Amino acid sequence: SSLPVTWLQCKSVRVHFTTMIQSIFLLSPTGEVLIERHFRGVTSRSVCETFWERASANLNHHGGISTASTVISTDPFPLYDTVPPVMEVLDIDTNSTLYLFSILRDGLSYLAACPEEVSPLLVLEFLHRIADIFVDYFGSPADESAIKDNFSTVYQLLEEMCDYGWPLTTEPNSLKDMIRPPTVMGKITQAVTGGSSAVVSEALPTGTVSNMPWRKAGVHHSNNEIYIDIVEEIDAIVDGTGNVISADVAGSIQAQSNLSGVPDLLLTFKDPDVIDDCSFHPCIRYARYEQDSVLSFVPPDGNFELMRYRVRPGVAQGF
Amino acid sequence: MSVPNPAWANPNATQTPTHLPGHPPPSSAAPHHINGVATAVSAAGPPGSMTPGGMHGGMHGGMGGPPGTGAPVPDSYFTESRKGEVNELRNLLRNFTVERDQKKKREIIKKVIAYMTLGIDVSRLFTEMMLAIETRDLVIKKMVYLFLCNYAQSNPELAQMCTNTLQKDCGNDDPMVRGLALRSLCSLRLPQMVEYIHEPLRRSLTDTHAYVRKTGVMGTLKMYHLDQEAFENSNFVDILYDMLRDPDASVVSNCILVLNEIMASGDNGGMAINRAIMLHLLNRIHEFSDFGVLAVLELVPRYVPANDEEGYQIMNLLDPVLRTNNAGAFVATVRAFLSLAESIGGNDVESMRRQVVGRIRAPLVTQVAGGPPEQVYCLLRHVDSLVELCPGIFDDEYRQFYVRYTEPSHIKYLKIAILPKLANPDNAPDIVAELGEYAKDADELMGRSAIRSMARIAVRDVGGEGSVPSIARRLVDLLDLDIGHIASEAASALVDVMRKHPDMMTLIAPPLPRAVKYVSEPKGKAALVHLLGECGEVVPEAPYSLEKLIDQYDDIDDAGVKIALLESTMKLLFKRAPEVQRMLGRLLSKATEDVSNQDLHDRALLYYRLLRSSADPRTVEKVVVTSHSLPVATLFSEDDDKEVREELMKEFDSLSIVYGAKSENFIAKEFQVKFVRMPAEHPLESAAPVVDPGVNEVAGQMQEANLLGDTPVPATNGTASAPAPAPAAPASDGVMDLLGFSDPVPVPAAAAPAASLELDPSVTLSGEEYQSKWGAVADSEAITVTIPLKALPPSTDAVEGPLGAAALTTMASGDLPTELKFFLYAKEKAGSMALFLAQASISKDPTNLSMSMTVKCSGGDPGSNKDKVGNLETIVRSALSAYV
Repeated sequence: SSLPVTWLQCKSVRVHFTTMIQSIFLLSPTGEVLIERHFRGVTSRSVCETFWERASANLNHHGGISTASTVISTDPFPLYDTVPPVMEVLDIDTNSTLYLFSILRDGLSYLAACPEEVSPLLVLEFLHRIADIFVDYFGSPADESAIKDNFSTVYQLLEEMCDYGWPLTTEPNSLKDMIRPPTVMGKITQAVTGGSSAVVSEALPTGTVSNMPWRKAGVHHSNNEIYIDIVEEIDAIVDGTGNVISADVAGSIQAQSNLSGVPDLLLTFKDPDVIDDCSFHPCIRYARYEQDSVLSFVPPDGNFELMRYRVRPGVAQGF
Repeated sequence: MSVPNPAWANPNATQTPTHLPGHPPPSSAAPHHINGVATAVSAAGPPGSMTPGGMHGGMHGGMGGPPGTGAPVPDSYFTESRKGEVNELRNLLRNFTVERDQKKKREIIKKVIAYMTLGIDVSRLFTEMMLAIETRDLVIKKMVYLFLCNYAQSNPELAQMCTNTLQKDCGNDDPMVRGLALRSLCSLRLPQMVEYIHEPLRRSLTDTHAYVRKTGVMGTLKMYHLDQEAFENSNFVDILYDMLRDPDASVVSNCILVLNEIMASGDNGGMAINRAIMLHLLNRIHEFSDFGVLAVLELVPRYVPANDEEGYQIMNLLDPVLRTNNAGAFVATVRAFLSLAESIGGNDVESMRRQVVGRIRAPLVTQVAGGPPEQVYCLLRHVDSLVELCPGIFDDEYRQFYVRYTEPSHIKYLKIAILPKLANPDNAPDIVAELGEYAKDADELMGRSAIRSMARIAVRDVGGEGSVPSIARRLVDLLDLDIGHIASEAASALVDVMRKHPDMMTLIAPPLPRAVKYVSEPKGKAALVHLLGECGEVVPEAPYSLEKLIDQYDDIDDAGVKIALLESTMKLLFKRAPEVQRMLGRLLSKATEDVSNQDLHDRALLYYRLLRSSADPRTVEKVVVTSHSLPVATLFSEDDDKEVREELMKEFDSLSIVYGAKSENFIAKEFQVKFVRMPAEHPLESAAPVVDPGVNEVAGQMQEANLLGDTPVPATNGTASAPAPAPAAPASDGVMDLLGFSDPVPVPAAAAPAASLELDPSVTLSGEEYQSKWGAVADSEAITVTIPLKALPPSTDAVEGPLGAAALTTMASGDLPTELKFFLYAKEKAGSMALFLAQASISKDPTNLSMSMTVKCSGGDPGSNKDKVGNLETIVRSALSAYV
């Protein structure tokens, strides 16, 4: 047999993760709990207090930026700088240790409490995904007032996005099939009557049986159009004499698709060689890109990030 | 009746000021609240049925359950008016007119949820909310479910009353309602409910709608945690294993998660996996959502590939996942790659690993460049361990690790710690210059880490020629900067540099007497005193610098400085005896009387006795002046952590990497799960053709056939042993030689065919038939022939075409990294009508171009088979004459 024998003897203890998020909290910029959702038993709010004690002790109004998209000068919210994204906290109710993952988006702290070993990036990615969905539903910034105005939608979204602590549905299009985003009319009604506006779709969810989970069925737009923004960030270090120490360009392609049916699109680059490395939205056909350096895809409906890339270092130096 | 205020307006106004940091709000408003509830119930509630509700509500308030009193709720919430509002909501809920007006009812229920969110105890509305569950309005339903899940544990009896409704909803026409009801039913966390859960759960697993099925799968897990015994009796595990073939990928990923968790404490440390399951899942990997894919990726490190080819094949299948924009899935893929590298690396795991890390380098850097800071931090921790594991691979990307102004400090520190590990002779000057800039940063910690990192480059001696003196010079400059923490850190760094490179002495020595005057931080001062002792012979004023300190001995608080002073003076005695002798006497008399520190006291006594007792000062010198310098090749022990690193790599993509410690050290024992690689051995099933499923249609079918013919043996419960999946392949005798190399003796040329062989071009075989026929012939009867080639066919098609024309049909083929592989068959047209099954592989190794073919004959006369295979070889040779 061709089996490497050594491997069979090599048993080691690895605490691989079997469970996920116990609870999710949303804290306002003043540390008040806006939303809490428990998936596996109740986590005491004391963990939020512990977190906030540390976060507020490290309030940093100058350095440190907490979201890639926020600019320091225009961000009205205090930023915490030295709070690590993962910290150990004690749940005083149950006297157990929890690992608290935190991200800061639009002034809100998104916290996930996990009792066990877990892939840290998985949890952080999921928290960001939640924040993305909120922006998608409530507009940017999805801040304290947006959450408060739409709290019932928030709960519904959390319900569908996470079951028993595991990420469930995170595709905006599938979610919109199940939970209708607040409408302009709803917002007006809300302003007039003082009620809240979230409305649930009466339609049945189509499920994700389709082989394109990112696109809902039967989309129809009267104006068929797609907008594409290319956002490039240049990070450069220039010394006193004007020499460029380092310069690199990280870019992303943001798209807004309003196309009916199942459109199959092709995006070609004038100079694909400039792209050094990239990561894709699941809709992009990977093999096609490998072969021809073109993006062939069926887009999701609405706003999404098509790809992220780095510009080849030599080219970046040209700035 | 007045309409209450909008849900969020009031609380907000009263709340914000009380929540300023540093003013923890008082949290125990519950006790006198109970009275409020009790009176409210007896005043407003109808007799009988309502009273228990009130009682429970009150008890709950006192117990501090969810999410009421444990919350930072300021007193102001429980003012008379707010209590009144909750009562008012109760009245509204009971109001008959509201009952009919869905829209109004929706608003009221939303308000209840809003209060719940605020941390106000609305559990006394339990009864009313339960009455509202009977509705066609989905929003109301969802909100009542939410309320129910939050308060069920504190109102178990009342919660049980709504079981009927929930069970009924589980049979609703609307799959959304079915799913929601089921999820809520399972989420009540009431053990006494298990009997009511069981049936709906079982039905849901065969529901027509995927939404309900995946909810049901998760529901089984909830049931498992409620009542393990009931779960084991229900046989859900078998059903879940079957459901791994569900057409909907999200159902499948839920199944994996659930099975893994249920069996975590079992012998396998999770779900039992075999080759069929693994390949089935991997072939469908593109169907999974970017979180669902994680469930599959988590299984890969536990799977032992049947052979090297299969390892490569899995890597090819996983390669597209590296392009994901989901950082979690990305790192899980990296982990899978690393583990495969170990499995198939054979004797040279190291180089295989380097290949893998080289492959993932670019996407990893992209993830770091574009991600949000929290992810960047975690990714950098992983980069850190990969850099240690495979030095050199990330070197060219060093500019990506320069700190950016806008980054949070913890990311900056981490990048500074990584930079020295990337240094090589080419980039070291750049990196050192950059670190030099950071050293003067306003952030103290950043300056310190930068200096430490510079020293590290020098100590590891990775910067090539001239880098050590240049670093030493920079450190000396920093020493002269007269900024407290920088000078102190530079002094400590210089100690390390000196130990490794004593030849730097002349460079380091000159500023020492200066620096020792103004460095006040104890650690830095001790370092300088130590250096003065080391460099005594080249610093003329060394004894006098020390003498000043000895005179101020009583003013020194730090024991470390005193010990350094003692040692340095002792050392100087043997270099500059006449100048030092008297001051050493003074120092020893002070230090032997100093009882503030045991170590200091004992050392002083030791030195004193040594000097007194020994007649020969050279003996004393031997004891005191020992060389501290280390051979260049040795690492400081804190850098030499290969063992820990290897251990940590096994826990890649976990908190262990972030903490830099093995999980045993920080995860409670009951949460540790054994990591078992499976299957323990590949049964004969592995004799089934290994093909790249992406290449050939038939190949996919063959995999499928293979899967369907093989049901995994599931573990019956979490604790019982789950044996490695048994093979169901028809022939399980003997082990198949997959590569066909077992018979090294090629058919001798003398056996060249006497009779010619004619093949029947019309024969067709299905994958299953092929497999069973192949299995039916013992391996010992297989005949291997080797045909040397002079050119490598450009593709599998170039081989299949000519062979097809010669009536040798290709069942499946694959273009693997090291070889082309073919599964062929042919049938004799006349005579014994023997069926030939052949597995052929063409090695891509340019030094050994050859085609190796293992042939089994099914049917026909065993005696003449060998000749016939010889004839077959001739046919193949002539068909491929372009390459032979």
